[in-house]
Amino acid sequence: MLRYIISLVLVSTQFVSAQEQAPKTERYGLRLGLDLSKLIRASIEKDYQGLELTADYRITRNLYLAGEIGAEKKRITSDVLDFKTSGSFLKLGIDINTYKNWAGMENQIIVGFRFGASVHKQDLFGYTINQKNHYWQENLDNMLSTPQTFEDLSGQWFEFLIGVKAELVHNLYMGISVRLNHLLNDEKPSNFDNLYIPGFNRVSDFGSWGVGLNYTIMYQLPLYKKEVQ
Amino acid sequence: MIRKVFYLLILVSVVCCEPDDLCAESVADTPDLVIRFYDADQPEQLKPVSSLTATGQDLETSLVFQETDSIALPLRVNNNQTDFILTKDEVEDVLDIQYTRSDHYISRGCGFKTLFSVENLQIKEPYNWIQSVELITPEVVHDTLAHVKIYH
Repeated sequence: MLRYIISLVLVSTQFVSAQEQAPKTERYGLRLGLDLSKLIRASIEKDYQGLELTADYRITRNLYLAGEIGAEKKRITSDVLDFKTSGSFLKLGIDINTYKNWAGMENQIIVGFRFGASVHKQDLFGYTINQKNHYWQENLDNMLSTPQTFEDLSGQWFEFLIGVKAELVHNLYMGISVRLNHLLNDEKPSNFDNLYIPGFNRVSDFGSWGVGLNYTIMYQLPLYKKEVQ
Repeated sequence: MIRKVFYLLILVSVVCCEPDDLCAESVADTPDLVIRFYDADQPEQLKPVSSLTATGQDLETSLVFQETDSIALPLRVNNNQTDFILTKDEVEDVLDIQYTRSDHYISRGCGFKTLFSVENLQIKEPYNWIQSVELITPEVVHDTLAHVKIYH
């Protein structure tokens, strides 16, 4: 008798829970964010200012339209050069989520790409003359009394990225991504070079490759829900 | 999984790098003025000098050359004129070079180099051991080819 009651209860609860289970849905929306890495960098690194806003929009279950917009100023003083780069940039591309979430969770491990473009200028404050035979003992440092300004410069590049986005609290996400950048084309200053490009970061002498990073905090504006197929 | 990838990405971004600030020895720097010595009697014929010292005007140290028909002299990069006292067997002649300068970008690690355009080159009177001088390449942009012929 007791066994009969227990099995009846089990069957009925199973029946009820099966009936109550809502169809599994996921949220689709627009996430807007701020890159904290540039703010941190600005506070600890001398002669750097930067701001970057990020956005992504979920198109399908694992595909996001993503982009960044921002501006940077960076003065670099080395043994042989003293210059400043300032300008703004825009990046657009796709993020693909490769992570399978448990029900109700919305985290992502992302691989993606961007096309980036900058408009910027370079100010050259001084340089050193490279003369290996130092016979004349002259001062080889040439500080310019008025900086030489190179306007209307630009760069276009491709970025490959991997990253993570995790939901901290409802609708608030934290993300980090590292990026490998490849410069496709740039408008160079005459008799100087684009050694730093806003959004691209430092341009290496070795074949137009660079690295970047962002560390974002994002807020999601949920627009609609869609049933998981 | 998410956490592992997150830590990995932080690690990668911290470890990354500042490499290419060095200037390789092989990179062409500010070129020297290259002089070749020819025989005054047979102008086509190179004629080595057994021992020669070149002393910059107002300088105390000298550049010493032994048994050569080709020397390279550094030009001043803060001035549009360089004078060298060329001494052979204790006989002196003064070589006076006047030029304009322009600075050219090399690279991040190497900075700039100065190139010269020689406008006037002469031996100051009187001529002693040198018979005559000829400017053959006024644009001093490489130091692999001769700019001046000295006949002696």
